[in-house]
Amino acid sequence: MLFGRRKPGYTTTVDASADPEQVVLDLQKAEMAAKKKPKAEVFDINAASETARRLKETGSTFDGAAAKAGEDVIAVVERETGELAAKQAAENASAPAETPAEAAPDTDSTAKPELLDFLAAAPEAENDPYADQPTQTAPELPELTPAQELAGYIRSRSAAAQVTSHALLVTEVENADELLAQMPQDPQCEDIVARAGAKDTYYYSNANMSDNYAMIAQLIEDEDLCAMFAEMVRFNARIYPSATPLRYFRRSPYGLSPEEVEQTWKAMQGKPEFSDIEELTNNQNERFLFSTQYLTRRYAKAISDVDEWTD
Amino acid sequence: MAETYGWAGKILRVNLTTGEITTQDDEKYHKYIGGMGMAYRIMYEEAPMELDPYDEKALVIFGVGPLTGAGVPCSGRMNVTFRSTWSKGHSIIDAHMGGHIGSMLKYAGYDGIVVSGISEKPVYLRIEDGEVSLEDASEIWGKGTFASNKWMVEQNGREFETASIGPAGEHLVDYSTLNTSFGNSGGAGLGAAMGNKKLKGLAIRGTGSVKVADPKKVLELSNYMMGNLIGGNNNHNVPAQPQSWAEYSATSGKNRWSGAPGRMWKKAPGGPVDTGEQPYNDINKVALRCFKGYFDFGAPAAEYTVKNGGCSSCPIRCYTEYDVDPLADYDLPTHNSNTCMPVLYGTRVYPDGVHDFKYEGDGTMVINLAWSHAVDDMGLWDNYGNLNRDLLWILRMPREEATKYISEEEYDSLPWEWEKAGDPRWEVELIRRMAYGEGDLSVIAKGTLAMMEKFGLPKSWLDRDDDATNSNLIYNGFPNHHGPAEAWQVGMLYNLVFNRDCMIHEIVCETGSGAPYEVTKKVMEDFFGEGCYDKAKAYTPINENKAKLAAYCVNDKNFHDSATLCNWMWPMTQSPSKEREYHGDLDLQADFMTAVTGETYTQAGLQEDGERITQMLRAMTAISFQLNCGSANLRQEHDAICDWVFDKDPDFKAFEEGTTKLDRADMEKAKDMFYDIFGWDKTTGVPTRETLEKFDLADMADDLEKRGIYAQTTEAAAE
Repeated sequence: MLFGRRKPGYTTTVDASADPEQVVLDLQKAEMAAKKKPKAEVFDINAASETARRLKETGSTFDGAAAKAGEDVIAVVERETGELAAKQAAENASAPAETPAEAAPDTDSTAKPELLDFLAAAPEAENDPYADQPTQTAPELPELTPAQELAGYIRSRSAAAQVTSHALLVTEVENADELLAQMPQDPQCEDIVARAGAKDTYYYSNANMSDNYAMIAQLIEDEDLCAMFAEMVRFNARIYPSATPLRYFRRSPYGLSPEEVEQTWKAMQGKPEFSDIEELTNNQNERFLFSTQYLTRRYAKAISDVDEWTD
Repeated sequence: MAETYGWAGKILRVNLTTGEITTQDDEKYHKYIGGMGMAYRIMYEEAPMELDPYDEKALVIFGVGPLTGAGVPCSGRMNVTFRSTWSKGHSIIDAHMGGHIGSMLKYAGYDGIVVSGISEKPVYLRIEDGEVSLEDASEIWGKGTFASNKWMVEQNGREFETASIGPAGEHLVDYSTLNTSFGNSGGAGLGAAMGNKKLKGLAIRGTGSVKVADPKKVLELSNYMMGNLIGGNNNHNVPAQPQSWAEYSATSGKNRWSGAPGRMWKKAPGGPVDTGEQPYNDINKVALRCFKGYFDFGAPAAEYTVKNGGCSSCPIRCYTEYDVDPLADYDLPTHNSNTCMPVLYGTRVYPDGVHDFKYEGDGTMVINLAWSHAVDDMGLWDNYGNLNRDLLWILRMPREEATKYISEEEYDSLPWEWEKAGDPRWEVELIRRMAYGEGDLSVIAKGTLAMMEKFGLPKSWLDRDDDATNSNLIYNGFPNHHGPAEAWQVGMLYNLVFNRDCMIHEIVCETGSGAPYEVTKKVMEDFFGEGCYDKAKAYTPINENKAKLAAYCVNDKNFHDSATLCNWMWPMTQSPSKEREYHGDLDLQADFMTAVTGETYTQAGLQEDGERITQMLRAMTAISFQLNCGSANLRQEHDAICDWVFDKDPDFKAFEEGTTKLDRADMEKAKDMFYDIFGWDKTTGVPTRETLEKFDLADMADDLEKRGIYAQTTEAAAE
């Protein structure tokens, strides 16, 4: 089954008060339409968390101007979502039809009938004030191409804070390379990014994962702790600029043990490729690494020291 | 009463001497916004600086503003204005508090309460919409704030919001507070100002609402803010730990967006809660971002955290609520909540250090939370750490040296065995002595200046370069608050203006965010001009844009304490949004003002409104310095800077990479620029007549003239 494992701490919120049928529709709509990186964020005070994320994934160009101009936020999002679905339908109508068997497994499409069957089998509620109201049915949604299905898989793993290795993709999907080659030409897959690591190439959706986090995730997947330390210490020194506490590598997403941190730093010492990485101790006895390519020892120590502070 | 939106339209006037309670239409104060601005105008008109702070005619003015309770995020603040008894000049001063009581005052129909007079017996002020009364508080006089608040709620019902002073206020201890039951407090001596009036507390229930001109717009602006602009506490715009949606995080792992995967509330009802990832546009996870306990104490905080609490209208929830069960072993309360100084400095009174209690590294946390509960219960203020710093200064002395300042009998009566054992009862006993004014040592709670006078310490005592026991930037009795160490000359300049610590967070919200310097610099320079934003410990000489930024911060803070908005969160300078290139929206507070009040506001206009308050503050400061210090030359008397600011880090020169020290000549130039921007005389730092008239404050200019303060300016210039 092509689905990423969700790490602890990555929770999905389900609004128990929501209409289950509408939830299914929303999920279906989002899954089918989620092809582009949003140009700007969407916000919706009435939306549940996951719905908000999925609205973002609809490719809305909503940038807050509507809110400031006094337009109805929900109406704008819905209008844009509709326009996008119509556009996709038009695009797919002109493309060769895919048979369902050729597409990657879609868990939602298998789960959906079960839920509907369950609802249909449930006893009728007594005194249901909504009993006579017409049931909302799912709109016709365009079929996805296999490449788009694969992009959806990569996207779902990115949403769970994981990059996807090429090795995994070719294991799971027979013609993965062919599908990956199609993605750059498909506007619906433009958010899928390939990142070359030391051991493999890794894929992620930049709609669901930041480029810098993908760098971290790639370094973790490469499993070369010395290289990872050096890369991140240099990155932090160059970008922020900051020395890197050894404790940094014990936190999420690295999650190394104290022993692993110590062994890695010990293994780096004396190797010419890591000669720019040095250690310092700040005024609170905390140990840091820094790169002499970007920071002098004197400045690195100064910005690592903790000064008296108030709230 | 005039029909208005935002403002309730009236203030309460309570005379404790006569028991008279009246209301007054407050439209004439709307140009001062509300809160601090309104109170300054009332104070100037009705309670001249000649009055002793404890005079029967002295005022305590509780003030909220048009945004309080109006549904604007982070607007649950109340400002209280009175007279300082402990800082140089005994001038006008404010306490600022969060919680729910400010909003409740609005719902009851009032923009403020002006309290005058002195009651014969202890009373509390009961407000239930239009029914206002003074009620007997004899039952709780002498009791701590927690018991007092509980009693007031029991007397009046759970729908009431209450706040109470503690024994410190009753005993006229200068460092005293007004407290709610959740750790929200207004300090600066407010407890004593109320205690002098025999006013034990407030109990308020409002069943009304705030009339808003354009509620749909308020909702839309709120959605826009929540989905695009708001970050964590202090509006920090990157998470403390890498999160998959974020390009950046705080390398140190320490900023106020401290919720993260694996950081848990382990004592949450129903089982531990993992704060997880909080994508910046997922508005339903905003309240998981600020794990303030983790920011304050690191991993041990998780072991004791129940949940996050906070103020009305605030999605950030910066009050971590704890169950610190090791304190039960010392018969101390275990349920604690605070977010500010009370949880940060308790360990300073343990010169021999503290020990772990239950988990590795939890000693600081347990000790600080014991401190927090005790000072909140006693209603004791710490003057942003000066109480702790001054205590440490004497507690770490050998006995023979310490007994030069306090008696041998008192020294020996201190339970030193508890200090050496790291026992939390040590700090509780110290706090009790301070709150009840017991012994020579308790002079520390009368203020740093009072302590220096009693102990015969020279002015140069404040020039010492010792972080742990001296943080006073100027000689007026209050410490650094986000000064040069976080905001270079800008921080030094805005620390010159007030008669207590500045309470300005406009810059530390950026410098502490953890975002890359170049990212934040771009945001700041786009808003405030080239060269305004220095790199950490790599400062550049003063320039015009830095001086303007300092002035902006002062005016903006004054607007916040008038509107009211939380200055820890506002303005929305930065954003967590990569799409916005991390730029916030400085106009948003003006947009909210327009939507709430129905009147048109711009950010430039709010700066002018804020500056009007700054000018009133400066004029009244000049008057009180003339009266109490013999000179209204504020440049000399008020704005002189302590030597350590320029002499620290002897191995570094100013402007060298690696130091936050400032340069004397550069700082004098900075003052010139700052005074120029504000229209203050460069020799004396006093607002010129032209400046005051520009802000419709001609009566203050006339007053300064009449008092001979402008003549002093002329004399000083001639010297």
